Amino acid sequence: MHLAGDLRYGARQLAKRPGFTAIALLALALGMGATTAIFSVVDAVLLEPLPLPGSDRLLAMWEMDPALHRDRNFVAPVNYLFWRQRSRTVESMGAIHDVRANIAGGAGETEEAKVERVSASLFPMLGVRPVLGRFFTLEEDRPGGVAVAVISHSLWQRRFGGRGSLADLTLRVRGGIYSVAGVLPAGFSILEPGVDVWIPLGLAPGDRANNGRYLTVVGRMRAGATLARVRDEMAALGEESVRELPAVNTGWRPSIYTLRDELVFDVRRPLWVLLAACGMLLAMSCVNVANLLLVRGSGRRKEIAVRAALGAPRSRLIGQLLAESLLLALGGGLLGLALGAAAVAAVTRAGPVDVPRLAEAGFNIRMFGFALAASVVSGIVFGTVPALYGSRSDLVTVLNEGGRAGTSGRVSRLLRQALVVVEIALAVVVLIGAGLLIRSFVRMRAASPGFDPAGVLTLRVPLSGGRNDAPGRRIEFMTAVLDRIAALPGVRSAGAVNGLPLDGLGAGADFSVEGGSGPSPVRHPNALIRSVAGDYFRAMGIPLLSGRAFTAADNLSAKPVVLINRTLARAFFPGAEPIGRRLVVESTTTRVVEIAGVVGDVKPERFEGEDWPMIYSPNGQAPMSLATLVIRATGPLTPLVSAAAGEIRRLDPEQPIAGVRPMEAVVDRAVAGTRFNAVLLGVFAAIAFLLASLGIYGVVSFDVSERSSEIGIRMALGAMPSDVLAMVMRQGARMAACGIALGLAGAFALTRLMASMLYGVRPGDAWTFAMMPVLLAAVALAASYLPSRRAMTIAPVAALRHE
Amino acid sequence: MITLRNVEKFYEGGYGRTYVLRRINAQIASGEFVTIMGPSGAGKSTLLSILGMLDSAWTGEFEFLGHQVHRMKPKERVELNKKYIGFVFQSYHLIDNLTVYENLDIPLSYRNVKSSERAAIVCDALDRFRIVGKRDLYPSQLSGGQQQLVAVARAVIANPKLILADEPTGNLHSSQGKEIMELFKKLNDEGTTIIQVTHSEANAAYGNRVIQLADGWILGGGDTAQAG
Repeated sequence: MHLAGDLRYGARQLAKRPGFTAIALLALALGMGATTAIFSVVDAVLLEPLPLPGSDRLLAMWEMDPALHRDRNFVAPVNYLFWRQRSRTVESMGAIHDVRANIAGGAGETEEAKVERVSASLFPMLGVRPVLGRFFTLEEDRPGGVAVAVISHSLWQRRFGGRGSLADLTLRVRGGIYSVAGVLPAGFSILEPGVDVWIPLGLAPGDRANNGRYLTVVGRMRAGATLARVRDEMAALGEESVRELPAVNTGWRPSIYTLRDELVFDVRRPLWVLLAACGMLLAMSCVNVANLLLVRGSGRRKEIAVRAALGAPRSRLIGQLLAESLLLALGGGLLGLALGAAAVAAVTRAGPVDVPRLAEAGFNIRMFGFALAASVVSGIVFGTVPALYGSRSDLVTVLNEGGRAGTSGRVSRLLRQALVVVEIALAVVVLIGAGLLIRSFVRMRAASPGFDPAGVLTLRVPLSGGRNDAPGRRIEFMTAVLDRIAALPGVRSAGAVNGLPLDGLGAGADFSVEGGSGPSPVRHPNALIRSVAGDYFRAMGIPLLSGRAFTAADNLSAKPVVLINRTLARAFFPGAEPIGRRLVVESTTTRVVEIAGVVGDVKPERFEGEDWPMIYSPNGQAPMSLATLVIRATGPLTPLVSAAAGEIRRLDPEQPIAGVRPMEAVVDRAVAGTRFNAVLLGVFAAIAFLLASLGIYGVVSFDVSERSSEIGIRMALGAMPSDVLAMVMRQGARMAACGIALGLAGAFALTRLMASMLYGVRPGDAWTFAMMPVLLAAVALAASYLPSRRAMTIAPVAALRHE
Repeated sequence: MITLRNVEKFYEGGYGRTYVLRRINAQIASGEFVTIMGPSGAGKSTLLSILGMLDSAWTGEFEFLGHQVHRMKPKERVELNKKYIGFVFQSYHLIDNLTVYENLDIPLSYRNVKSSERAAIVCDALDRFRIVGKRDLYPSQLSGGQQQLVAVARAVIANPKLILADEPTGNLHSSQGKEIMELFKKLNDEGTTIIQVTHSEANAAYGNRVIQLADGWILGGGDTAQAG
């Protein structure tokens, strides 16, 4: 039980060398801070269970069609009903249909809200309880059932002032009046954040619309079932459903994930990669401190030898040296915790909005526990080798050296160099990872999304549920709005669409080429469907490649026409002229439409996503209920916001306006995740640079002072200062070369795991693999140059006399 | 070969200059075997360092093989050292991390000798000094006498005209010391000029002249010049 004494002595030793202690603490704090911060995010986003009872049994249930590259597609209601009836491993299921709708009621103007149409089974299945009132009954979840709504805690506060009684509380949703039946707990969400209203789904078995895929299905596994068993059973059910409904299901099958995995699907890999990068930084910090301790151990050989001569067993010496390491690690951990708490606050503020539960990351007991555990483990990791080595003094040799500066020998030197090689290798991996992400981000920003976002203002004009929602009124209202806005000063062109590029896949439909030899009569391809109004393509800068754009004459009484995008044209009319050909589009109704023109592709959801076939209809023939205005300005956008809103209000003072943002903000949001990853790994790369150069500098610098007599001898034997410079630089270069070679091999293996995070750059990108080592080699040489300069000024006489 | 005129070395201190060497005048001809003797602190090793171009902070005139050393830049002095001088130290000063072979190779590598030639020269030296069996050993694996033997081999490997030896047998027992001194004698007989610093009268007897130093002054043996 010498720990207290060892710790006390350790603290005194550390206080006696403030320079050494400060550098070691800084190195540890950097590694520990980054690791703790990212752990906190990983913990909140990936590790913490969902705040729902038995959340580990909750499932997200999709459909997939590998041939169409649809891995997690919405579910057709007909299949939801089939699964619910037949599945034995999933004890209950609920279905969700996400929509946007105008709502009114209580305080405030009509506003656009996220609304979910949900089955009555959903809330009981999730195990959530209302803070007030009740959920839907089965009777209410039938077509034509009583109109009831459940509202979010925030809507209850916002519009109804948190009233204690729900009696007589009503909400107008999409023109229908709904009685408010219950209020959900604050912060409740399932897969879509920010939903304010839930209304019954009211599926009617046998409805033709049940064949379209638009439902999100959530299920709860039976107790004792496993994901694998559920998947097996669902696969069998999928085959059955193909046999029963080949027209709907050929090529499709169920695709099942846990709800938690589903929530973090897009962020899991990047977060683990970031955590791994932090782990490498922490390892680099440990290597640095281990090296510093080895160096210090060399200076303390005599003290250790004297202690051994006085009877200290080796275990005591090791214990004493480890106690110092532990103290250092705890100090570094504490500083790292402070750094990490500040960093995680910055990350939650500046992180991308689509990382679920990111806001919950922050300083908490788990973060503290992690920092403590990481400190203790680090202390043992970086303290063990120096302690083992330092405690193994050759008594006679050391004591006989007297006051002379002893050389710590080849083993210690090799050990230090090996540690730096490992450190450089880790730095190479982090740097290459960062390089790949930064290049991805640059490529993404430079890539054309298929339109020109500069100088374009967008704003949503939700018609759904409002007085402009009747089909005839929709066309008239939108035409009037666009005519007025196009006439505003500062507007070059204006149009509208029901789904902006880079803002989500939106609606889709099966289609076939009339008279074409489709792949199979029961297996129609799928395209994204958009309605456009006004001068949409010109306002967005989407090129018309052939044929004509829509005109005001393309109305309900004219021949139905569509524009298709280049992807559709190439895939279905290879080498042929699509203009004038006809498509059969299967939506809620079957429409036969003629192709009037071909326009350029736009990215519908994300830059790294594939190009979808797209069919554009004129608003005059397929009136949209959720319009987003697109206004290309000749000058600044800000004055246009109030001018455009003013024109809309003049037409209808009650028409809500939402989501006012420049198109560049839409693009910006689409690259936010990549930018976030690139910035974070960029910061880690900077830390890696710093740690690697510190490591090289430390080792080379110590070697120069330890080898000053050798350098003196060499100079006495004819070495020129340039020879000495080259000798010392060579040492740094050799370590850098070994580390880089090792790091390249490691990076080659590890960056493959980042493939899904990259855009336009392969994991083995030659440029990154060449540039990062060159940069690191330059840093390594610079770090060895300073001690080399010092070595050149060593006076041989002084060095020899020292001996 | 060597002419020193009024060579002085001093340190500036709080109480004025402290002289290590004063008005040193001496001449040493090629082929001589000169011994510098004197009590500790007399300035023997300092004088040797100046002669070996390791110390450039001194005043006076120093001619070496016709070169005006006092007018030369440090880099040029190193070149002279490389070309003409070999060193042997009391504590051998072999490089711990290098094998015997590698230690012998160092002076050649600094003289830009091609590696194939270097290998031949080193092997020849190993043979000549009968240390072939030790070629792959590290200094710590050799006895003091063997280490000094390697140090002498290293000093002569580049075929210097002048060998400077600072207490070459100081750390050796008498039979080892004798062996080293015989070696010096042989080298001198073959034409190499040798200047040694020693306390040992027996070692001095191997030479043909003794320069006596005390408190930085030459008391005798500086050839024609005398202490002032």
